[in-house]
Amino acid sequence: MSVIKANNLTKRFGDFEALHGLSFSIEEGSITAVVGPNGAGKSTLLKIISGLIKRTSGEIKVLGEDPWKSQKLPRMLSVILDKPYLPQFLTVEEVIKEATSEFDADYSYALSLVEELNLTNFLKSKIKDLSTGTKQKVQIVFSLIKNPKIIVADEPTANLDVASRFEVYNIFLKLREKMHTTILISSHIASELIAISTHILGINNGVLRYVGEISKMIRKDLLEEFYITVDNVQRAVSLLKSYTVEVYGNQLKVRGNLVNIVSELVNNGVRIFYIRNSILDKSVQGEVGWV
Amino acid sequence: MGLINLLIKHKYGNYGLLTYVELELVLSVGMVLSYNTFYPTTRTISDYAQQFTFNFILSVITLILVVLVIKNIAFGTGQDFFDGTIITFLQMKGRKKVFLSLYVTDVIIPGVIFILTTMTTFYLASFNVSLTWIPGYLSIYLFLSSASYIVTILTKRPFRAFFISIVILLLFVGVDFSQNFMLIYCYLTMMILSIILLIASYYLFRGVSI
Repeated sequence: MSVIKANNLTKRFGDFEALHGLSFSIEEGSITAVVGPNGAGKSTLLKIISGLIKRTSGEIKVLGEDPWKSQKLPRMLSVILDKPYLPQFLTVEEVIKEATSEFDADYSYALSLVEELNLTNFLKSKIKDLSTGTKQKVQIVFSLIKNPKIIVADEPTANLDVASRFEVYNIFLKLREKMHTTILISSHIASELIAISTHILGINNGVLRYVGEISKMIRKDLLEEFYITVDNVQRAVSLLKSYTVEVYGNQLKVRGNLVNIVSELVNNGVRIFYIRNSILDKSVQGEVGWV
Repeated sequence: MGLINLLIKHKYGNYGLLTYVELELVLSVGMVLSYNTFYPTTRTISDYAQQFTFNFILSVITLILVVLVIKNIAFGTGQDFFDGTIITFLQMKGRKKVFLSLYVTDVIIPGVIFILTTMTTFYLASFNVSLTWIPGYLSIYLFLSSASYIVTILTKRPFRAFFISIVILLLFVGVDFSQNFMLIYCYLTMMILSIILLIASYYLFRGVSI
């Protein structure tokens, strides 16, 4: 069942057309990665879905409601932005208590979210005194307290460290599993979203370039291309002579069977710090026309 | 009550509404003391000169209160628009209820507290004034506050909203002065204008992009 339906959605800011006639639908319970380069129109689209800005023309329905006019939607949809927006002079505890009371939510559930994101020590702190990353986590807790049916997250992990990013993604996955929550996440780092997304919505220059299941857009020719960060690049290059290797600083771009490549390096004393498959970035960039 | 409580804590700080009660008590006591300097032997308004003096004092005190409320609207709600804090409130309720909650915390609560503290002060000071001062005060107060709301929503910038609101207030003072502070008697017209401005600011709020 579609929870978000857009038809010929257009947004203009003066003479500048930010979105050009987008038509798509988002299925219930899906995690959709909204991807595209900077200035593609991702934030504009997410703000229209959240009812924060008004479309210029076309139609959009979120849970059957027009997000711009709906009085009910704020109870069912949560927005997480890259810039924390909570009242700065309140404590974390005050914000969470009032949100719990407003949404008739269970305070112990709110506290479990606080604990999961390691915010227990900050409960008595004022929002203004927190680091940007911690503010972002509080914003995420605030957004999740109402158990939303849809979460719209615009670069939600932009200010977070790697561990915190995965904590947030885990919470999203749990929500989807338990509550069948539909999640839209935007990022210009597509590879970060591969672990959790089921669908992709790619925009470039305000034009919808791809919408659909993530598995259908993967370029099969990139399945065996990896970026490997090692401690000794020269030695690694000499060991991988039989493979196509390109060097970027401490990172090697290698094409081939991963198991064989790793065995070759590890068995010869080269330490591997990080391995990344570029398949999603490249596939998205290809589909979205984002170079 | 979550949203209203959150707004009260956000707008009035740690001491909540107590800050305003103290401040407005000072204004209402000031009103009695000021009248007392003109008429030290009486606390009753019976002739034109006494009425004129009272209207003058009431207008000045109302304008001081309006400056405080304009500061709250422009630097509070205006700042909320500017830095996106308004999204927190829009996450909790629809635009209609958020607007009403903001208007209640910014305008209605301080206005009602002023009426209550002033009536208490008048009673304790045995100051006999007809209750017609209330619609007179409310008409000026609501007119200028609603005008400031419109400016704040249109500009979405705290300093700009404050300065434009103060200019409107000074224009009002000029008109009131030229009418010998008799605008307080035109409360019906002023009330109608206030309601029109309130409705306009509601529709502007519904149409504002964040």
